[in-house]
Amino acid sequence: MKFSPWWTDWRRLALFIALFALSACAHVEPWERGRLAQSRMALVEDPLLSAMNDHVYTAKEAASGGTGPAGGGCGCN
Amino acid sequence: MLLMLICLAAPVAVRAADAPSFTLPELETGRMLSLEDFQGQVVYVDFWASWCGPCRKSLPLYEEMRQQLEAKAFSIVAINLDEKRADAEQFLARHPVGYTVLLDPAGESAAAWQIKAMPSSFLLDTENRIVRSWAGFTTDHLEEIRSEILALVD
Amino acid sequence: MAPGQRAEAAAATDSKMERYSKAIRSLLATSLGLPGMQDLLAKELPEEGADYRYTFYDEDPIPQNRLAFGDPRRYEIESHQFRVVKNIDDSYGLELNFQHETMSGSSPWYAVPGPDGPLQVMSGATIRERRNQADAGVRFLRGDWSHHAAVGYSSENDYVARYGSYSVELESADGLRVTSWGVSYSNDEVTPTDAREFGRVESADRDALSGSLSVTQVLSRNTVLQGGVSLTRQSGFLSDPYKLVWIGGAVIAENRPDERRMLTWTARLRHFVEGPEAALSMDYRYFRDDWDVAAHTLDISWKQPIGETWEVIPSVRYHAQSAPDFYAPYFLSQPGGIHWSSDYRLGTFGALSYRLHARLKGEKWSLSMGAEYYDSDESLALATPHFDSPGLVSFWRLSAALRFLY
Repeated sequence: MKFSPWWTDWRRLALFIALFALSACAHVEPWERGRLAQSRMALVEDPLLSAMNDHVYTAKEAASGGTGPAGGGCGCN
Repeated sequence: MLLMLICLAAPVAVRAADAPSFTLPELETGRMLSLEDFQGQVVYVDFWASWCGPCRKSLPLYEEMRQQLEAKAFSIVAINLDEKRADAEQFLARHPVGYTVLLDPAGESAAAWQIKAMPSSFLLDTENRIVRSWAGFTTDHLEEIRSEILALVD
Repeated sequence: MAPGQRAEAAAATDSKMERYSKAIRSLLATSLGLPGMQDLLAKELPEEGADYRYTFYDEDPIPQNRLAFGDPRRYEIESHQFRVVKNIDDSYGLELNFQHETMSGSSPWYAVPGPDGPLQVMSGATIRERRNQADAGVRFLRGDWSHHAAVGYSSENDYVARYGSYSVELESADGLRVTSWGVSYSNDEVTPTDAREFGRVESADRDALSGSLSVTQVLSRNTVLQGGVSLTRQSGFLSDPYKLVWIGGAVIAENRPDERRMLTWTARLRHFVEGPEAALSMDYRYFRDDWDVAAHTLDISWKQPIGETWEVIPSVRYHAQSAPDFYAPYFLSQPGGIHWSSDYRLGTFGALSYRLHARLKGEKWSLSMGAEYYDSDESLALATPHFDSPGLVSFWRLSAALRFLY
């Protein structure tokens, strides 16, 4: 498999766009957002735990990224 | 993209000058109160919820304002939009207020008043007509609110 | 009379009404906020507070039947993390993070052919190391835009990383969608210990530049979904200076390509489950790169409140990856290409991890404890592994964390 950049990854790109186009009609009134505002519903609830998870898994696996801006690497071996 | 445009094209109704009425139970007593019960006073109506970040700032500041304006013909009516009463009670135990708190867990009054942000607040004159409204809350709002109120009660 | 006409007519006779229609216009023109959703969506600065987290990480020793020689005891890491978030006013906030780690143990070097598959050779001497990392970030809000910039520095006796990032988020008018763009850059410098004695590279550089785009959309009062894509280009010395390769009896340093382009697609879902009032969280990542590594990672957790103050969070994570074509545990003859690596972390394998966290929440503080067991194995892979990788790791991780809100 040769590397092809994401813009040629049509299937995933189409899925991505379709998903968000369909969701554009979602309507949730301002006073109906109490559940979404709970801290346990946050994308990143505990920044230190997320940072530690990224650090540990990135050090032991070949894949990385996709969890926000990356820090520097480490000499982990 | 097209879908998005269709969704955004929904007409926005302009609010009438007369404030929509409501009849809601008071948190402390369970007594039903209507907007008409406050006729003859300047009323500040605040829509809030315990989960709303700026409400943590605004409620204690409104309480301060209430105490300063106690002698005037002025009332604050806070409409709580929490789904669960316990959340409102827990919040008020931490930030106690002396003004009227009404419960509207279904958010019917918020829908009638077409609120667009949390919190939202409205200043009504003695005839229950909307004089001014605020969407959201920052500490800068407070001076505006206070001077508008003083202009109406004096 | 239509409400609009009425407002107009009233405005002509009543100065208060004029103010009122102005108020309506300004109300309608006001950007419609989504307060409270501090982390989920932008618009409001994060809550101020201070965090401390202690983590003890302990790798299982390598089994005797997979060890050729060397010290079987693997890495043990103790880590202290600190974080402080302080908001200057309604639109400016600062955050500071600091991390201190001490590491000890031996690490996998290379593998040799054995009677029943490859055997791992471990470093002999126990490595002892320290790592310090600090970063600082500033967040500022301007209307519907939220900006975040951060710089950081990480230092070990043989590794230094300097990095920076900038991201910007835009909230939609209805407050239900946030679009985010980000870039980050890192410059790392490797200066291996005992370089001359072991014939390692004495000093080398690597850079990484990354760009990302994500869209977070509220789907209902219970559900929010984020989709994202990121591209990263690494260049420079991308090998691990301590990793070796056995090629037909000779042991030499590994040699990876000096460029790597990586792509990720991510989907993150948060769903409020009405009956138990729990939050279900699902994060999926698809990864691939021009080294021919492809990986799927799925992380699912269930955040269950118990009463007013407790929360229990079981979670499970699955990761599966396929190896680049320059990977093998050892090479019987000189490989065809110019790159080779026997770092088990590039192998084809799958990994399962089980975690359990418990949290006790007070009004202004919370205390949490957590445990994880992680196991990686060829048998958990999605692709067919061509080799056994004897270095594949399993570890325990225990943590305790304290948070104060002010």
